[in-house]
Amino acid sequence: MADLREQQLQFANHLRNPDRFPAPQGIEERRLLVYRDLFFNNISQLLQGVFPVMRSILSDEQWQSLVRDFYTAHRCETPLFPWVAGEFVEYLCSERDRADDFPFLKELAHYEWSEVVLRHEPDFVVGEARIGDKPLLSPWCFPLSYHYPVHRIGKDFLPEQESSGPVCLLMYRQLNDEVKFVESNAATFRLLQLLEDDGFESVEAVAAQLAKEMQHADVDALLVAVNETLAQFIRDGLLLA
Amino acid sequence: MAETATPAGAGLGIRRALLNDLSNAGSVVDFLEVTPDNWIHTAGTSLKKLHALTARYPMLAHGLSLSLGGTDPLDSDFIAQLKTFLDAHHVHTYSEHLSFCSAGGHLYDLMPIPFTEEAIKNTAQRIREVQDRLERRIAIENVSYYAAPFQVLSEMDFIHAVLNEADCDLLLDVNNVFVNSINHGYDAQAFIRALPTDRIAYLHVAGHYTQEEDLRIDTHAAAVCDPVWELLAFSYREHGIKPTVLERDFNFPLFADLLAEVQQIRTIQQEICNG
Repeated sequence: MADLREQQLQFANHLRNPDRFPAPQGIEERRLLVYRDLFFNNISQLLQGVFPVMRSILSDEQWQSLVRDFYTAHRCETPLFPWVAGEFVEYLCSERDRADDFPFLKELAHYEWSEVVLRHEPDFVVGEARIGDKPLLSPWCFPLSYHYPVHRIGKDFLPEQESSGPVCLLMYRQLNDEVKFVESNAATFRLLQLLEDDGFESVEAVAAQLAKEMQHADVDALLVAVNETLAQFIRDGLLLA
Repeated sequence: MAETATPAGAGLGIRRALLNDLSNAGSVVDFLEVTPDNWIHTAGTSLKKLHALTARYPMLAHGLSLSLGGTDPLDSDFIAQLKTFLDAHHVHTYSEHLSFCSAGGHLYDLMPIPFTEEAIKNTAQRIREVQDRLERRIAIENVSYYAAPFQVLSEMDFIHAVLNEADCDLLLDVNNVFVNSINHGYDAQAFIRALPTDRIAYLHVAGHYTQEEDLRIDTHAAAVCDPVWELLAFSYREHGIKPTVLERDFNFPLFADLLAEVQQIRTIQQEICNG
């Protein structure tokens, strides 16, 4: 007789993928169907809530096949329901490789998931971990860089080619919990990186480095532009002064 | 462990969809029940609202993901997180399901444990380990099930054996008994009568869906039906009045209508009390 572990795996695997794994014997078909529908609809609805754009650009058949393959192939470790969608992103980005998927699918998943992660960033204390006399990137601001303009994807816009340069987005959460994003660029991302870099202790030093890297002759003019950008980001809460 | 308020009377399960109504209302129910698996490692205004609620109500907690009946290793990190959560929210009693929800990873829904001797030993041992690590006695819920794969024992023998071997309490879900009694053709009253009174920590009621006359689905998406109200009254007569939670997960009615159902629990408790 099968031991408990085998019995449970047989039942669970059947619910994960009834086409591939037979059900335990002797169970009425309509009762198995109840379980199959409950389990699949449960996971499908949970994911649909986190990835509304992805759901909207896929046909029912494509979506169900994607969810089914995730449910079958990926070993979900988190016991926490708000983090289940992170398992789906892990599966898409690390375990799935299908030529017929949209080329931007992984990036779109990452983008939609980032909003949830941002919403669950814990409260923070301003003033910790300051580096010299520079504003600091808020823990409630994610600089996101993609090959595809994921923020514009929808049923009417399904890009087949990567953008000519990196698509830089700043996703941030306001004090009222509203999540927003602004389009940005590679230079601004580099600016944010330099702010985090211990080697540069002031905004002036950051601007000088940036001017060097960009081969920008007028350091003073760049410093003015940098300060304007930083002031705007501080007002909007992307940076902590 | 810090002192926790003891729930009594009629309570409601916290859901995100109910958070604003509960936060804006006064003390409209006697206590609340929260699902830690939906809140651990979250943040934001919703979590602040949860903290405000758990600070002003006596609290129960009802888990989903422990997989007490499962054979994947128990998740030590999760149990530690649970303990922190239960303490932070002044939870009086923590309950989980007499079922398994993982086998080679999580499936995020409840599967029926094979009613066998081997499963009794496995489940009881895991409950004991959880009770040790949480440093508290827990209650296990009789679940609704639509099939009993690999069944050797009766459900009742299985429940009794687990309660005894694990030395834990029971969360009696009255709707589940009703649904199971129809789906598996047994007498709901006889089933409830056979449960050990001294182990029953608290009760659940909820609505279900009639898929076919002999196949009911435990959806928590409808109002509690009259036969379940009657079975609740029967449970009180058999085992005494215990704190009782109304569960509603989907298809939410107006908040006032939900509170009327909680009030119905109180009314039944009063009627039994008055003889």
